Amino acid sequence: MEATVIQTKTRNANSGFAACFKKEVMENLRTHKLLIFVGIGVGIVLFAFITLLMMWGINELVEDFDEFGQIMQMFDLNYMSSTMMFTSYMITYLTIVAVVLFRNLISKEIKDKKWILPMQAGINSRNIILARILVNLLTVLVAIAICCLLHFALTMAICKPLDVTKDGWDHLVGQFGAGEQIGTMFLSYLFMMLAIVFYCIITIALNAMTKKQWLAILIPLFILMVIETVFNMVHYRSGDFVNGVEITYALANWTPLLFSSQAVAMLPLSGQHYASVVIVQPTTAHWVVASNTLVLISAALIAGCVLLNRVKASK
Amino acid sequence: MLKITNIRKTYMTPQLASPQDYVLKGINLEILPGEIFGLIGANGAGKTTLMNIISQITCASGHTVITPEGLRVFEKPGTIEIDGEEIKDLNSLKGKVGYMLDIPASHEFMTAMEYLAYLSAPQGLSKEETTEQNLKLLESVGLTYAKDRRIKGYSRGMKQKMGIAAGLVTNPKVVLMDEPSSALDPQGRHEVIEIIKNLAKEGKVVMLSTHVLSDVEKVCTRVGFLIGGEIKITGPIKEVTQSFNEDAYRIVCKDSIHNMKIVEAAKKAKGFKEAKIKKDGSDVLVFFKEGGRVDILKAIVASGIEIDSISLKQASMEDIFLQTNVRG
Repeated sequence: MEATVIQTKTRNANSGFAACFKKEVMENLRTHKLLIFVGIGVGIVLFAFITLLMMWGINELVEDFDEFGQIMQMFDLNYMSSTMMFTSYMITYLTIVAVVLFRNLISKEIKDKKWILPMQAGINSRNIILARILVNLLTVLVAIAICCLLHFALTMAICKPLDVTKDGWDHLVGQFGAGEQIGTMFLSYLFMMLAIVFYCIITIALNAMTKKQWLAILIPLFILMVIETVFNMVHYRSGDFVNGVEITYALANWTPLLFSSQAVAMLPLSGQHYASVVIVQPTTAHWVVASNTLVLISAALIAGCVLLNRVKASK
Repeated sequence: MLKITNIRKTYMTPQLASPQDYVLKGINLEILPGEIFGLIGANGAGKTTLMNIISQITCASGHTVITPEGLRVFEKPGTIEIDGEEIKDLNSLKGKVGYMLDIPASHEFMTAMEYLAYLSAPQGLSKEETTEQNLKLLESVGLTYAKDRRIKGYSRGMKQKMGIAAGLVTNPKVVLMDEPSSALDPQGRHEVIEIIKNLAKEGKVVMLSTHVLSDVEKVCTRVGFLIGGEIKITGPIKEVTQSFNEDAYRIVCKDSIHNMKIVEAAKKAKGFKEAKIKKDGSDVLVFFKEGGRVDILKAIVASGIEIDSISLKQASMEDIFLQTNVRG
C-alpha cells in the first residue's frame, strides 16, 4: 500500500455535525424507521375513523337523556370528534411505539462500539448524540405530519363542520372571529405533536443518561398510562364538585395526554359539545404555561443528554 | 513512536484495590515507527484492555503505593505518548490512532464509500479529495469492487478489511489491531498480513494482538507476552524463540515401531538426558546434556535404524506460549 491518505487539513473541533446528521437521515430511511412510523400512524388514523364510525352508529341506538348518551353525542361525524379521536389515539398508540423503538437509541450505539471510529476520526461526541436525537425526533414529526395530512383529507371527505358557514380551511388555519382561536385543527395537531415528541425526548434522555433500556420504557409509559389517568380522574372530580383546586388542575395540564385533550376542549369548534358535559375550560394562561413548560423540559433534557455525554472513556 | 509508561488497570475502585485486583500491573513499552509489535496472551490476559487504554476507550487506573515511611500514597495513572505528545483523552487522540476492533463495528446500512466519507468529514477535505482518498484506501485493502455495496451484505473477511480501511481514514501514526485475521480463510489472512506489512513500510507503529501465532511469526518484528498483567517476555521474534530453543533432536523414523529402539540407542550415549515419544508416535524428542550433542548423533547413526529425518528442535511461538503458562 503506497501513501494512501491525503494530508489532512486543520481540524475544526466542532466539525462533523452535518456528517452525523446525514448519516442519521440515511439510517432512518434505510432501516425503514420512517416507514414503520408512517405505517403505524396511518393504521392509527384508520383505526380512529373506524372507531368514530362505530360510535356514530351506536349513537343512533342510544337515547340522549342520560349522561352516557350525552357523552356519546360528542362522537358525531364532525370535525371536532374526528380530531379529538385522532389526536388521543395518536398520543396513546404512537407514543407507545416510539417509546419502544427509542428505548435503546443511544445505549445500543455505545454498546455496539459504533462511536469509536467516528470519535477517533475526529467527530465530536456531542455532535453524534445531538444529530441522533434531532433526526429521530424529526422522523417522528414527519410521520405525524403525514398522518395529519391524511386525517385532514379523510375528515374533509367524511365529516361535516359544526359551523356550516366555515369550510375545511377555516377549521384548519382560518380566523373564526374576534376573541376566537385561529387554526383550530392545526393547533390540535401541534399540541399532539408536542405531546408525542415530549414522550420521545423523555425516553431518549433516560436512555442516554442512564444507558438503561428498561428505565427508558417504564418511566414514559408510567406517566402516559398511570399518572395521567390519576390526574384525569382527580381533575374531573374536582372540576365538577370542588371549585378552585388549581394545583391538581395545573398538574393535570402539564401531563401531555391531558394537555393535548384539553387543547381540543378549548377549541371553539368543540365548545358546544363540551359545554353539555360540564368540563372546566382551561384558560389561555394555562396553555401558555403548560406548553412553555413542555418545551423547556424538552430542551433541558436534550441539553442534558448532550452535555452529560456518556459517549466517553469508561472508568 | 508509541511510548507506554506504567499503565495499570483495575475494574475496582483503584484506592481500594489490592495488587491482585489489577488486570494490568504496570505496562512499560516502546514501539518504534515501522515496527510490528505482536501482543500475545491468553484470553483475559488484558490485551484488549491495553489497546482500549491506548485508544482512550477505557481509562487507565492509578494505584496505591506504600512509602518507606509506611504512608499510603495514591499514584496517578500511567501515561501514553505518541511522538512525545501525551494522550490524555479522546480529544487529544483524534487522528493519531487507528483502532481495528476484533468485531468490526461499522454502520452496516451505509456503503463503504459513504461510511468512509462520514469518517473523513472532520478532515475538511473537498468532495473530490475525500472520494480520491477513500478510493485509494479501499484499493489498498482490496475492496474497490464492493465500494458501492452496503456493508450489511459483506462477508466477515470483507467487514474485517472495511474495519482496517476505516481505521486508516485519518492516516494515523499508531495502528492497533485486535485479532485482525480471526475468522478469515487462509487467503483472507494472507491479504490482511500483506496489508499489515505495508502499514509498517509506511512507517506506522503497528500493535497486533492475535491468537494465530503463525501469523505473529510471519509478520511481527517484535513480540511481547502478556502474563499475569505484565509483559514478561519481549524482544525480536528470533531472539525470543532462540532463548526458548531446547537442546534436543527431533527424530522421525521410517516406521514408528522403531521409536523405542531410538530411545534405547540414545540412552547408551554419554550426553543423554531425556527422551520423549510423541503420543501419536510421529516423532521422538531426544534431549541431550551440554556438550552431548555429537555423542547422541553418533549413537543414533550407529544403531542402524532407518530414519526419515533428524533436526535440532526449534521453539515455535506456540511452544513458548504453552511453556510460559501465559495464563499467569
